[in-house]
Parts: sequence; C-alpha cells; structure tokens
Amino acid sequence: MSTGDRLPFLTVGPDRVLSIAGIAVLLGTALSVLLHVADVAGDPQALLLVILGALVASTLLARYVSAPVAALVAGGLIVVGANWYFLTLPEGIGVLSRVDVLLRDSLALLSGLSVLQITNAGAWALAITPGPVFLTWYLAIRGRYVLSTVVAGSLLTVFVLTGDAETMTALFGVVGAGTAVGFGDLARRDGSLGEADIVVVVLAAMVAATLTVGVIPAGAGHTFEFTGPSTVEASLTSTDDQIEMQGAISLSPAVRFTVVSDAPDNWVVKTYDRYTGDGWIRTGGTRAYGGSLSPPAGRTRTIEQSFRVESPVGTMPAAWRPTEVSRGAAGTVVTEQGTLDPRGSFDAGDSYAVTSENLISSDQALRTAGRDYPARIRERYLQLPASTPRRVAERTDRLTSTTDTPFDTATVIERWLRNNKQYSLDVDRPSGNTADAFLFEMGAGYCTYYATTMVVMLRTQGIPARLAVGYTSGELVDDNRYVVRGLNSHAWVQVYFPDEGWVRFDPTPPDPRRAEEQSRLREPGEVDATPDVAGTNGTTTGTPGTVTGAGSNGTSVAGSPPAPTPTTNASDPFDTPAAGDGGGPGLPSPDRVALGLLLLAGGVAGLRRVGVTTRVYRELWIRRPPDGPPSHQVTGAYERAEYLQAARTRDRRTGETVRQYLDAVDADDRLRRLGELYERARYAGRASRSDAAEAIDLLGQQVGGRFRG
Amino acid sequence: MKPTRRGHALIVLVLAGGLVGFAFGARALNAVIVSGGVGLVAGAVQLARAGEPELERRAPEPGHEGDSTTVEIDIESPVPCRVVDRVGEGLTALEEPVVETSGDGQLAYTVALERRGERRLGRATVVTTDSFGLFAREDVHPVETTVDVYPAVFGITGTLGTEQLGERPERGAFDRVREYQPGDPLRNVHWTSSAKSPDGLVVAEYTADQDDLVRLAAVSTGGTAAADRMATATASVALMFLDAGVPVALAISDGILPAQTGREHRRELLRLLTRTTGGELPAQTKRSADVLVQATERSVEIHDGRRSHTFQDLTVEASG
Repeated sequence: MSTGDRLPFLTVGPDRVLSIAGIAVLLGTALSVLLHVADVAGDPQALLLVILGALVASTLLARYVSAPVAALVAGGLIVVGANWYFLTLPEGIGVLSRVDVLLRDSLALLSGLSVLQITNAGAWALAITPGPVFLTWYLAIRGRYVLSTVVAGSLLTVFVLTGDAETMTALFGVVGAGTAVGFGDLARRDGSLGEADIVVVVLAAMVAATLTVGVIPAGAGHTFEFTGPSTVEASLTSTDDQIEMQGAISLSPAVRFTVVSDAPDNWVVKTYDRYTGDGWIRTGGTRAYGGSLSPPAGRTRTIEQSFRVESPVGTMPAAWRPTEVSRGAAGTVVTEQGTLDPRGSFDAGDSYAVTSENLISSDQALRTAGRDYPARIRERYLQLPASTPRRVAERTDRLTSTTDTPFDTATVIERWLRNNKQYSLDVDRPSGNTADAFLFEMGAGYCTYYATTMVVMLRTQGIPARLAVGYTSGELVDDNRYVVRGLNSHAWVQVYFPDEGWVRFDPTPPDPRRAEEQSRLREPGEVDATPDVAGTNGTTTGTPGTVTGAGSNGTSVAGSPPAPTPTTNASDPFDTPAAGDGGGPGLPSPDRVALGLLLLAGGVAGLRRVGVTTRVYRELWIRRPPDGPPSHQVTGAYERAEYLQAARTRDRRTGETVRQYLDAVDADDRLRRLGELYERARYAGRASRSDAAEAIDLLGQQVGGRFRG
Repeated sequence: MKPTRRGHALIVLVLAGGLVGFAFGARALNAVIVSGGVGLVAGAVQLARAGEPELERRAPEPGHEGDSTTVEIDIESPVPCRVVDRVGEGLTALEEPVVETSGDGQLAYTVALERRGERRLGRATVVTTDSFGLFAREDVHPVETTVDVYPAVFGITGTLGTEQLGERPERGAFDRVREYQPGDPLRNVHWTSSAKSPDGLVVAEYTADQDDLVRLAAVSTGGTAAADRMATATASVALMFLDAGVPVALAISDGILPAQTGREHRRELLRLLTRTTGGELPAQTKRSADVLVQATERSVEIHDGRRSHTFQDLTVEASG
C-alpha cells in the first residue's frame, strides 16, 4: 500500500487514538501479569523502568527506523534478555540442561505451568519484557495495528496458557485487541467514527458473552481436571505445583490411604516456597528417586510407614522427612524440597513403604540454632511480594517484639493466630494479599489461611519458612493403623533452623478443625469405612519440639460446632468462586466499571444502529421548549412544529419557502400563524417577547394535538 | 464468503484454545474462546446479511494519446469494502486503482491514455469484509465503462494551412464581434477591435458561407500502424481547420461526417477517428476531396489538390 511509508502519527484522529488505546490496554494486561511476577519474585521497580525505557525508545525510533530494523532491534533485545537470564541462573545448571529445561517448560506451558514456577521468575520477567514491548509500541505508533495486536496478543496468550492471566485480565486483553483491530481498520481506511458502532456492539457482545457464557463453564472446564478445587483436599493436594486461595470450601470424607506407622505424624505431600499474594507456587524441578535421601541435620527418630492407597490419587504422602522408599519406589521422583511424588497416579490397592527421619530436637536446641541461614535457603524462603502491605510486617514486629530467637518468634505467631482467629470453612475469598486480609480484615479462615499468614509473618521477620500441605495422621483404627480421608487434608508451616532442618508449626486451632472433620464424618451416608471416632487421638497436630497444649482427642469437642457446609453430597460441594472474581459485595471494582461502560456503549451503539437514538433525541427535543432570545424561541418553536408536520405529511423541500410548504401540506391555522412569526423573526429579524410567548403556546398546542390525534 | 488471513488466524486460535482448554483446564481461555467465537459469528452474520455494494461509474473525460484522465467510481456499501478496478489495454493506471472504505466512499485514480481507441475500464473487483476483517466476499462488479483515447494531434502551421486558407481570404462576411471565450482559436481574435475594447480580447464572427468548407478524405493501406498514422494526421489537419473556424467534412472508410463546426462536431470527428481501422475510399470520393490523407505503414502523405506533403514535413516545419 502506498500509505506504508506515510507516518500516520502525524495525523491523529479519534480512530487512531482509539486503536492506540486498544493496543495500550492489550499490552497493559500482559504487562500486568509480568508486573505481578516481578512483584512476587523480583523487582517491580526495575521492571517498570524497563517497560518505560522500551516505550520511550520505540516512540522515538518509530520516526526514524524502518520496520525490518525495528524487528531486528526487538529480536536483539530478546536474545540479550535470554542470555542475561541464563547468566542469572544458579551455577549448577549447565547449558544443555538449561535448554532441556527450557523445552520441557515450554511444553509444560500448555498444561498451565505458571510463569512463577520458573527459576528466577523475576529475572525472567525482566529479560523477556523489553523486546515485545518495544515491537508492540513501535508498530502501534507506525499505525500497524494488526501486527502490533499480534505481538502483544501473543504475549498475553502465553500468560493465558500458563494460567497467570485471569479471565478478567484476558477479557480486557481481548477487548483491547478488538478495539485496536476494529478501529485500526477504520483508521487505515480513513473511515469516520460513524462506522464504528458495529465495532463497539461486537466488543460489548464479546464482554457480555464471556461474562455470562464464560463463567458458567468454569465448572465445565474443571470437569476435565482431576479434581475441582472445591474441597480443602483438592485445593491443597492437587498434582499441580500451585495452590490458589479459595473461598468457601468443604471436606470430603472419602478414604484416601490406610497407613501402618510406628508413630502418628502429618503426612506431607508437598511444600511450597513462592508466595504470590493470593496463592502458592512450588519452584524448582524434580529428580528421579535413586536410593536413600539425606536426613535432617538435627536429632531424629525413625518412622517406618506403609501406605495402602484406597482411592486413586496423584500424590505420595509420607512423614517428614522421607529418607528411603523401601517399597513402590518405581517411578518416584523427589522434589527439590525433599517431598516424594509418584510421577503419575496410584490406583486403589497400590501400596508403598517409606522410612522417614523425624526431627525431635528439643526446644532448647531450636532456640540456640541461631540465624546463620545458608544462601540457598535465604534466597528461596524469605521471598515476599514487593506489594505486601507494610502493616503485615509492622503488626508482626509488635507481636514479636519481646522474642529473641526465631523459635520463640514462630511460637508466638503460632499461638497468636490460634487464639485470635476463628476456624471456618465458609469464608469469602479475599481480594488482594491473603495474609494481609486474614490478618486485618477476616475474622475466620481455615488451615490455608492460617498457614499462609504465618509463613508471611515469619518471612517479614527474616525467618525462612514455607507452606507444607498433606494430611493429618488420620483416624487411628488399630494399634498402629490410620485411616486417612480427604477431610484430613491440611496445610501447615515448616520453619527452617540451621543445623537442624525444617520444623513443623501449625497455627490452625486444632480442636475446631477436628470438630469440623467429625461433624462431616457423622453426616448420614458419608462414611464408607467403619467409623471408630473414639480413637481419633491420632490426629494430633502437635509439632515435634513444640508443645501444642491442645487436647489430642477430637471426640470431646466433636458435635458442638454446627456444620458450616450445607452440602450433603461430596460430589456437589460449594460452587467454586468464579475465576477473577475478587470482589465480594461493595463498590464495583474499576475493571467492572470499565466493562459496564463498554456494555453500555455497545447498547447505545446498537440502538443507534437501528435508529432508536435519533428518534429518542427528537422526542426529547420536541418536548424541550426552545430558549434564548425571543427570535431563537420563535424559530425553535416553528422548527419543532414543522418537524411534527413533516412526520405526518412530508419534509419541506430545499428551496421551498415556508409559505409554499404550509400551503402544499394544507397546514392548519395555528401552524400558519407560527409560520408567519417564523418568517418575520427569521427574515425581518423582528420578534418580541409576546411573539415568543405566542409561538411557544402554539407549539404546545401542536405537541398536545399530536398526542390527542 | 471466506475467512481472511486474519479470520483463519482467529479460527485457529479459538480451536486451539478450545483443545488446550478441554485437555488441560479452562484457565482464562474462556475469555479468548468465547470472545473469539462471538467475533467470528458476528463477522459472518454481518457479512452474510449485507447486500452487495453499489458501484456507480462516472463517465471519464476522453483525451488524446499521451494525455491522462481521472476515473471515478462512487461506492455505496453497508460494510467495509475494498474496490480494485481494472484498466484495459492501451491504458495504464498512474496510481493504484484501489480504495478501501468503511462504507460509502469513492475510488478515484488517474490513467494514462496510451493507445488510440475505445478503451475499457473495469470490471472492478469488490471485496467486502465484516467490521473486523475476519471474513471476506469477493464479487466482480458487472458494470464496466469505456474511455475514448483520441489520436494524438500535432500542430500544423505549414504551408498546407496557409495556402488552403489563403485561397479563401473572403471567408464569409464579417458579422459581429463578441467577447473572447476560452477555446476560441487565437486566429479569430479581432485584434483591432480588441485594442479598443475595454473588456479585453474580442473575437470576430463571420457569417457561414456554403463554399467555405474543407472536404477531408483519408485512406490507409496496411495494418493498424497505417490506420494510426492516418488517424493522427487526419485529426491534426481537421482540428487545424476547425480551430480556424472552417467547417470540415470528413470521409473515411468507417463513415462520413458532413461539414460542421462546433464542439459537438469536433467530438464526433474525433470519435470516428478514434475507432477507425483504416481502409480505402471510392476513387470518386478521393477526387472530390479538398485534402486527401494517404497513409501507409511507413509514411503519411497529404494532398491538397496541387501538391503533396509528407505529414512529417508539415509538423517538423511547425515545430521549427
């Protein structure tokens, strides 16, 4: 096209402004994901600077640099970024394994590997950002809106696939893309915005459809997942390496395992290191299990466990810390955090045996462990999103102002959470930072909230901690046999002590939780194994080395609290909270307002398309009496009356005088009189106040007459 | 109606998104799939409902070989469309004969008139799309038009003209003077009256004289090249006389025009010469002609009753 060389930014019309705004929205949604990544695992300030730099550079270069050169610049930025990112990776990772990891991760993207699981995700965000931002903005400024949309849209698509972009984010991106393409075409064709109503109507239809059709199949989509995250168990022990905070949730009584063990303990499924503000991510890879694993550094006792799988699961729980898989080791992998993973799933009837070395260091030993944390621990387990509100740290500072050791700090926080928050499964998922919300806004929550908040509080004090999930010991049915059900799933905290290892703390109040489990078990038709509630003292949540003080028999409190979940069918639990629906009742969020406005604009454009707005405007115009000086009132009154007359008969032709017209349509006397006043006001320039009053009166009769007839 | 490249890309995106979503969970793919689906359906419906755009061609101004003219097509379309016009043989578009409009619009471009003849414009190809350009429908608009490319004309100020006119110094009685209008030959300007007139140039008009006309006959032997030469030479000679206010009658193998002056006559004469394929005339017609143009593939000779000139001589002299 001959317009290729013309620089369109020299002439800026509303269509161009809208196209560029569309690109900005689309790019903004992708960048919001990257900024979130940087917030969780990097430096959001640095990323903002990089984004700003790329925008400024592309704006300037768009004037001087041709498209191929710009593509080379963008490619160069990506290559440089990738190399820089590889340099930031830990020394141990060789180039080949890096490429291997890269390929594996790329495939994993399809299935929803979060960007946050990437090693050094913050650096990764910094590295990949400038290239696409530069190219997108360059193309937008040059008026190549479709190409620009493709570049920015690809970036957003990656985040949609990784699951990092929520539905609302994606929807904004889609609207941005549609705006850019639709108005970009108008700009290219030099079309007027009068043709834009279809674009607006379609965009509004997209939003409406996504918000209505799209939300309902949140369930439909989930039917293809292993488990819907509507139970505590599903949300905690899915095979994913991420946990998203959920709202109201229920307990499943299905039996998962039978464990024969020397001693009761929590059975760990997985631990999570990276806190995203509204969930958890496990970073780092896995390696095949190849013989025994190293035990904790501190004093330990050995626990021999034998697990029999009772219903299909994709996890491999074991007492902390597993050192040997003596049976069923085939295919087992070990995560960097030291937990076991079957790499696949177990069927009912499968079994495995694990030897664990359980840390039993004394409180005193833990008190004297000090703060000499290894670098690898500091780097990974002190991470907090940069956006974590300061008041979390301040509150924790005050709470722990009297403690001297990390052990005491952890004990104080654990006790404070147990004593000051109510246990409830029926909570609204908070928007924003979960720990902050639980600490300051929510009165109640369940284990995930307690544990998350405690990890965050510890990290604000410089104490390495992580979230552990798995099952409590379960129901003791025999000498050393435990029945573990879905409702035993649990989340707690592991705190690191130098030269000792990871120590369990559990900030969830144990009694209400067990009561909840019991009430769930007693619901009719829910128990598929002989309940022996009397013997549930095995579900102790006492942490080794700490004295929980809580009674270890759940029966004493069982039955007193009401079941919070009205559901009676485990397969039909609470609705999952809609993805992206962060807000409860209250003021609508800005994004909802924006989408509402778009829907409104779509409605208006649609009405305009079918001519309703013009008619409505005319109706209002007729009813509003003309104002201003008398001559304006007279001419205004006549124009309105003539419009009414024309609606009944025909329009006045161009060149036809008022008198000819009124004769031709056989107007009544009142209209003729109005015509006289009009001609005098218009052509002789004479109109008195009384003329104006008469004209308005005559118009009133016309309008009234119209509705009588 | 077919998906465009853009439409294909969106279809692939929606399908792939659906597959990935069904295989690995919905995530935010709903927003992409549902919106994309809405876009595709809306685009298809919009285009399917839209009627064909209406194209109205304005008759282009004819011109001589070597001139250029403007082609204009008015477009009325309920949906965005792209109109590409085609120019026939003997014409060359000087600008891309393409326009994209969001609805109503106009395609205007310039063509160079290169070869004598009645030249074709069209048919235009109309590609209508939906508002997002996801689907396209291609129609060939049936209406075409022609533009006349008149033969090239060279100025003749050689002896032929002066002698021919010189023999008739009394070319009708002086009738009256009137104001000069653009298009009047300078020859007719009455300089003495003009000098006295406050309105500027004044043109003399003469009463028509039956005898005062030129009978022009033209023949060619050979192919198109000979016909082209004949047309150019004949047009040049005829226009010289017409410019001088002398009525010209023309006889060629394709037809005969009675002696006339005026704009309409000029146009008819040029139209005839534009279409001529050359050929012989009866000897009788040739004999009675005041001026006879005889063209071959190589040369053109012009006889004015007493002498023969080559066309080249007349024009070379003119330019010299």
